[in-house]
Amino acid sequence: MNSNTSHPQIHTLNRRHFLKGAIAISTMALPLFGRDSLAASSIARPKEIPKDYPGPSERFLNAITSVYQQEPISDGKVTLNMPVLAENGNSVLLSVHVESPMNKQQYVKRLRLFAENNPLPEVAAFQLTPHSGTAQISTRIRLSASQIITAIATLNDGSHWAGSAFTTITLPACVEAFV
Amino acid sequence: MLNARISVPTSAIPGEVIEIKTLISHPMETGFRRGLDGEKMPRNILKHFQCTYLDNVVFEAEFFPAIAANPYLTFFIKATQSGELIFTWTDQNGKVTQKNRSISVQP
Repeated sequence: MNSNTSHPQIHTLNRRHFLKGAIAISTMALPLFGRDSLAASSIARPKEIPKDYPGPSERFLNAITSVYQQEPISDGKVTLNMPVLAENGNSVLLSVHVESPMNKQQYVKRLRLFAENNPLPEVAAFQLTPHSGTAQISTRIRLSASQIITAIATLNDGSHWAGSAFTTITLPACVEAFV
Repeated sequence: MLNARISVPTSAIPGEVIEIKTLISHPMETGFRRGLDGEKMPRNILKHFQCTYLDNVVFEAEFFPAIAANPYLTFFIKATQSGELIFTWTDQNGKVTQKNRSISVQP
């Protein structure tokens, strides 16, 4: 009796799973052919993000597409150090390091920083040379919300490498009136 | 001419990688904030930074409004021989602030 009633249930569950899977596959495949570029869909993401995080803004995806076109951006080589929690979004210390021998044969040519949910996602762009000795930079940035910050390095061979971090902001930049 | 502070080691050995720290006083007004009258405050930022060493550009930075007020920037260069380092900041209207430091490189 029990087995008779449970059998069709399993059947419908399987079909539901199949449909879910099919939808997931189609939405995963969409960015490759849709308006999202290959570059934007393959960028490294930090492991721990809050569940209610809205995800990257359209502005960020457009910025990535306009800078890197369809070129692949690999995960690795770039270490982005940001505080996990920052009280004041007006000044958040950021330091970024790229693994590279920094000699004439192999060096980091460009390093770009993006804050994906800022009103203007571009934060800074650096040009390095073999004279830099080591590819490490630190600065202070503004964050308008808790979000993922991404650093993308372009090596002299043309390959792109990304590292990212999530920072929670207690007091966002941009909201306060001038005093 | 804006007030800028730069930290460069006064001496180094050839091939040594030295850290350079820079700090310049500038409001870096984003253009997204509203003043007390409710009007958006016009953007006023530094756009570009450059460091030359022995007449070669060794490091360049492009700033966007997301750089905090009083831009602080540290980076590294490889010391090869004694000479002058020139630091140049340019704001969005092309106004330039320039500082220099010399370094002595001895084995």
